[in-house]
Amino acid sequence: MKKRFGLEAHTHAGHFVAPSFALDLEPGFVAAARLQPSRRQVQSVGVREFPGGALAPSANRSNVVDDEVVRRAIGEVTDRVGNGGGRMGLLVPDVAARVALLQFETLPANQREAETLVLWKMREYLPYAPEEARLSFQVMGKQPGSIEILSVAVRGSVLAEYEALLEGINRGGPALVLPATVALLPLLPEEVGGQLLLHLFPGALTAVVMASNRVRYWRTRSLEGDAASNAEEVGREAARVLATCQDNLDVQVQNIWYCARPPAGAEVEEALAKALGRELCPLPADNVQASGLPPDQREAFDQFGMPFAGLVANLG
Amino acid sequence: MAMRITLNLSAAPSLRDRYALSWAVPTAIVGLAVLIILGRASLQEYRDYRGIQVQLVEVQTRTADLHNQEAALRRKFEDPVYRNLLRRAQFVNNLIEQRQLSLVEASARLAGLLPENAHLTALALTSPTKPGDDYMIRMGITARNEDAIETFINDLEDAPDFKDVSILNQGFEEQSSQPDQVSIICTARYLPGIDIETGKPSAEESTSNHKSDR
Repeated sequence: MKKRFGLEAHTHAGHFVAPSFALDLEPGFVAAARLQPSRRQVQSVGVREFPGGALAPSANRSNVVDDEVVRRAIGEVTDRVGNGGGRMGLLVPDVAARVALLQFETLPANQREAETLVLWKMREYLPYAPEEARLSFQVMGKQPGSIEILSVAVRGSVLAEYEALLEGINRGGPALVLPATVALLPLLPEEVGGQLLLHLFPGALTAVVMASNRVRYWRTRSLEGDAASNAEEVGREAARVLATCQDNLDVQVQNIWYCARPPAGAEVEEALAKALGRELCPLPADNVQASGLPPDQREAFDQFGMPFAGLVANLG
Repeated sequence: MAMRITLNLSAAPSLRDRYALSWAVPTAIVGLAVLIILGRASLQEYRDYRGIQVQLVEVQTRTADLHNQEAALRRKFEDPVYRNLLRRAQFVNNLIEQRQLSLVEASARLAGLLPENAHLTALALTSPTKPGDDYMIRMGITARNEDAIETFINDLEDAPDFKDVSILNQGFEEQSSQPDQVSIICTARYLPGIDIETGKPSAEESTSNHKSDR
């Protein structure tokens, strides 16, 4: 099958593993956390900001503009938080990845054949050759004659750039690599109605709609400039997503969860609430123990650390 | 229960890969050890091979020398002087083989074996039909009594130059003037060259045969 589709060279990705140290790289900041997955505890959190231009996320182009600046920020925040030397998780900007919801009548039982088939179907979402992609997918729902897949792909060369930034910090590379918004999904409570997650971070807004614990919609919209200058555009984009879900997906959104990293300011939140006509809810992290953090780290956790909470919450 | 994600874009080594990596060094060491053992064994085999090859060369050299010697001998034997000597030797051997038996000697020998009251009435000699066979003597003996015949037969059997004595017939001449007279006809193989004292071929015969062998 691989030969038929010309996909022999793509790299196969693994399954979720719980990291004991995680780094979240976004344009303008790098956040790090030391985690204790067995206790579902965030033990330490740190953030270092750097000029936003040093990292320019893209799905098919080089992402790291100023290698030295980003490395220095990573080194500082790692020293602050403390890398225990265990498994390392890396969260990359959503813009660097492509996420797709795919539907199949059936999937091959063999994992590699299934991966090849998913990649073949995902090729139209990728701005590069499918064989250059590193792919991971998850079955969202399975019914007779219908299998729904959440698929994530990153260009191998792009991911290699991020992994190269971690040289000297972790031997053997990161054990877990995910787009940051994927790490937020375990924080969404299970409800029958639709849940809209708005993740605003430097350079983009990702909107995810979930219903009955299944991802029904995913869209990452790039933004020029900071969040405050794009408040209206962010509001329009969120409203479009809401309308699309109600009109096309027949999903009635009950809750709108909002996560802005770094905090975007009241004007953006107000613009969103006005555009959506709903009240925005902060992401709940109740089942994650972070109360033991010092005040400065607690503030960093609240402002930047929700994906880390998601990684811990994903263990159940 | 909230959604659980199973996604992971990492290509970090899996547990199986790590397991394989952890075994890579011991496997490499074992492989190296096996390689060294195989190398030593191969070296030993090579040395053995070289030794056998040297021996083979020696044998081949010796064979070649023997062939040369054989060729030299053949050339030597083809020399007219040696061919003439060979012809003469063959001639002498033929003479020895064609040597005639002296019937007088045979008669005298038989007479020596006869007791006083027995005498030779018939004698016939049969030459060997093929080389290696012996002379066959057929003789008729008449004696005054059976004891004389018995004595003669015993002496004949004990004689080293007579073998395979067999009596063809025996009769009593009742109508003769001497009623107890006994006649027999017997045969025996005669070995003329045997020394009567030692039972071995006589020195003269051995010498002549030895000469003929050359």
